[in-house]
Amino acid sequence: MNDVTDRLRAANPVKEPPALPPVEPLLARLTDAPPPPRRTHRRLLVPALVITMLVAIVVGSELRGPGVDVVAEARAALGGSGGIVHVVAREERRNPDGTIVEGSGTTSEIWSARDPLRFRVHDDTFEAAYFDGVVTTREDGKLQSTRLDEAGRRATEDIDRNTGLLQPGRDPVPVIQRLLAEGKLEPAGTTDLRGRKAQRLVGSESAPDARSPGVEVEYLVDARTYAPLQLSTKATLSDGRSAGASKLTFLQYERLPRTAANERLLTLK
Amino acid sequence: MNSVTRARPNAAGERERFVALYESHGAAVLAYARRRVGADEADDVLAETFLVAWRRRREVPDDALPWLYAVAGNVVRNRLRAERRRGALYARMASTVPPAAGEAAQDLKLGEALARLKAIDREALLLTAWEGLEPERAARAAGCSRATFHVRLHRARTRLAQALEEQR
Repeated sequence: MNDVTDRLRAANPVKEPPALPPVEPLLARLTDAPPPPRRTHRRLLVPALVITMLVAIVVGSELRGPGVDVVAEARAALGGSGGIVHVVAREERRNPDGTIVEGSGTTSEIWSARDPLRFRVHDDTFEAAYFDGVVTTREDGKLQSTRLDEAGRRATEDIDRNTGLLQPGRDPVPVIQRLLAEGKLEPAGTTDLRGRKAQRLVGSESAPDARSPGVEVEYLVDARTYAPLQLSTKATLSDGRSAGASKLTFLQYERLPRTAANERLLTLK
Repeated sequence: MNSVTRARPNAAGERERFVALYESHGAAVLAYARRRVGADEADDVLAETFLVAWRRRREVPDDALPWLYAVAGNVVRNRLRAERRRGALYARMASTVPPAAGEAAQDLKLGEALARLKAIDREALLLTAWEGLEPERAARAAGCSRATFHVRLHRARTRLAQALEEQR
């Protein structure tokens, strides 16, 4: 164990389990109403693109239904499904009172490709790459590799199907395509975004319980090509109070040819 | 047997399981809460966490503690967001450390360095260092995959060490 962990353990403010209050007052607050039906766990709002690369385990489904053809056309317009996807995005998170969350406002960049899956992401201070079940990170010039166990590897390899409504994933276009097919996103007219005609795609997730917020999601994509422009989420508690918001602005979305030089963008050396 | 009388044994059984859950893990959840919001609010976090556990009792997994930590974490975050005092709380963490020789000033710095981390990175560190969870269970408590958790933990350790170094 390293010095930081030792120092943290030494600073543990509660080293011994505290005395547990009696359960009776709590029992008096329980109702015997049946619990709501079991639902899948909703992911927390984790807007940093670096993290969204490796998270989100939500069961996907086959691509079908309205909206898919539109995105397929867009994919063709954007350069097909092959190549190396390059995304630059800036994330911004806001507290319930509208102020910017401390530490938010970072810009992340990602290069990724399929068959086999590999990707590299970085922000101002951190860099990570994935290939063949191994995650390699670089921070302050130091490289470190971790081989994933089988479950972690499967989850990572399945990232395009696992990415949920609140996250753009490795490549937002197939995510949008799937969410449209699943009915989790719906077209909601067009709007103007910085002088560009944008198609609005909206969806929502209801609150899992009374204390947790529901989340409204709005994707803005280029009206012609469906290239992602912006992903906004707004969390609201059941009593109408804001629980915060986030906005991911896609500064760049492009598909690069698989040249030797571009392949090097996928790896950490 | 009508539906009412049939429901009662089930409800009683569920309450017994709830009490067992509380007695097994309540102290750990209370400690988790005290490490993050202090003793004065921790009892409320404990109660809110187990009320959520009751409402979602069919979702509680066999290995319940990481799940309870995840719920407690949401409760804590809601409170901290509302009160906007997260930074002060983490700085306060140092002041509750037993005043071992020479450690108080040093750990005040640790509290400040912790407060500078991203929340998800800080939580990864604390779940392992304070809650003592192994990465697999800590990942469940953090609501992410093991791979993601490893990345967060590595990043958090590096950034915390860097922040402490900058304070020297």
